[in-house]
Amino acid sequence: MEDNKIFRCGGNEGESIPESILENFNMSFEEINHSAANMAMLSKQFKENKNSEYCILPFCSTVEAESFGSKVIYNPMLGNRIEKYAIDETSQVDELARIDLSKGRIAEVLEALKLLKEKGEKVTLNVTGPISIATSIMDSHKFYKLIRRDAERADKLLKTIEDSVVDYILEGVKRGVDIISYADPTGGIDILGPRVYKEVSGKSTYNILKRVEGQLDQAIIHLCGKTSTSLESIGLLETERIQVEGKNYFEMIRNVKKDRGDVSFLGHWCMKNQKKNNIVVSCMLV
Amino acid sequence: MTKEGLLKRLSDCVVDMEEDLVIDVAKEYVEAGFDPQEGIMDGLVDGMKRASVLFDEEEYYIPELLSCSDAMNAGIAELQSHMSKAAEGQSAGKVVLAVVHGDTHDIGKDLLRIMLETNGFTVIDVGRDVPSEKIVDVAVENGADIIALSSLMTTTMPNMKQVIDITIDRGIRNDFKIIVGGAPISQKYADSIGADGYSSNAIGAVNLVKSLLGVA
Repeated sequence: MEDNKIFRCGGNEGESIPESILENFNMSFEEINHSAANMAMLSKQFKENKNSEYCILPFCSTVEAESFGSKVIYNPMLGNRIEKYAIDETSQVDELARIDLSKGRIAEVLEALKLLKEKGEKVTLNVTGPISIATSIMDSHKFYKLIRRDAERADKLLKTIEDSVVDYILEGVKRGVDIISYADPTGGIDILGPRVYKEVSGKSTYNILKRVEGQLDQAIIHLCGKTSTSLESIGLLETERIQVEGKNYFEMIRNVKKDRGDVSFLGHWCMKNQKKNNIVVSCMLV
Repeated sequence: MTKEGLLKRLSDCVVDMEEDLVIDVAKEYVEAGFDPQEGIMDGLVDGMKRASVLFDEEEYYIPELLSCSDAMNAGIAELQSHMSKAAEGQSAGKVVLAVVHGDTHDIGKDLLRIMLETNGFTVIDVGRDVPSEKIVDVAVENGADIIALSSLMTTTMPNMKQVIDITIDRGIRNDFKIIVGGAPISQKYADSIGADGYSSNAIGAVNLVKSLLGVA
């Protein structure tokens, strides 16, 4: 693997929501997370507090796994995290159903997105990739064993996840999302190695992106730099560097979408990082 | 088959991630009358060392290394069932290993566990997202030499200090060496919270543990 070509992640940061904002809500963080109206309000207040242009939803990367049945601990300071996996035994993979987007917190996230768009806000929807979801619904060790020893069942699991992620992205698009921020931190080539990445993780992310490509309307998908450089390293993605106006990275993303209607995916960068030049990297699936 | 031949097969089973086959080979080895302790060290652990080299050379990655570790542990369990307690061998030291409270990122911790076990240390893996009190309790209960803490998020880093503070409050700080690691951690941070050591990677952490315990 040409490791030097893989984007270096600055860390797996969860952003703490200041207590001063949470005090405005007369309810627990968990309750906020299960109410579209409150989630929308919190997202807007958090945006204003950070002096940002974009509201971000949801507030963690556990929504998809929770929708598959994992149990989540809610914590605004440390970030929400998985307490108990949905799957204990690999045989349970056979019973795993596609996410029902009309139920639970994920439905509230989509509704919050709609509410924010109705108020004229710009919204980024964070979407988690398949390997990070898989290792949030079952122990990562068991998952690695599954892909090595029971490829058929692993494929089945990933297909269910892929279907659900595709549904989730397209529902976000329907509600007018501006940016889908897609990341699969556990699925990087630097963790899995080139063989497993090519046969499992890269393939799965590629399947998802290929299925939503052409259906993004006004939205754009920003791929985590690690994801896009990993895909490029196995030849599933080609890139074009585009010079674009903009005071910050978000404005550049907006402008490139305006100037270049053919751009569906951007990558090779982290949305949390400041941009020092006015070049964005468009990613084309092969 | 000769003893050397069987040792080589035990080692190969680990490198080739043969979790089931390794048990059969271990049985064959014991039935042939060979020393189980030698089977562990010169067969299974040798295989894990070879796997670690492949990891260093980027031939193996996390999934392969974890599978090798499964095979090694399956073989060890089989060989140990034929050993008396006294013959189970000397541990190089006892390490309590945990990802701190609030953090569920455990790949680095798992990697360190494997590396420490391969180097002859007894590891008590308390898991991830572990309350600070529990980490200290487990260290006390097991008479640990080292407490090794991992965190991948700046938001959970303060819980490393909390563990250290608990040992100070209980008057047992000098009973353990406490080391820290993880993506956002640095030597400077380790020094600032009063940790005994820091390493940026698993292999460095093994060397750190060896140096803190005076193990060659």
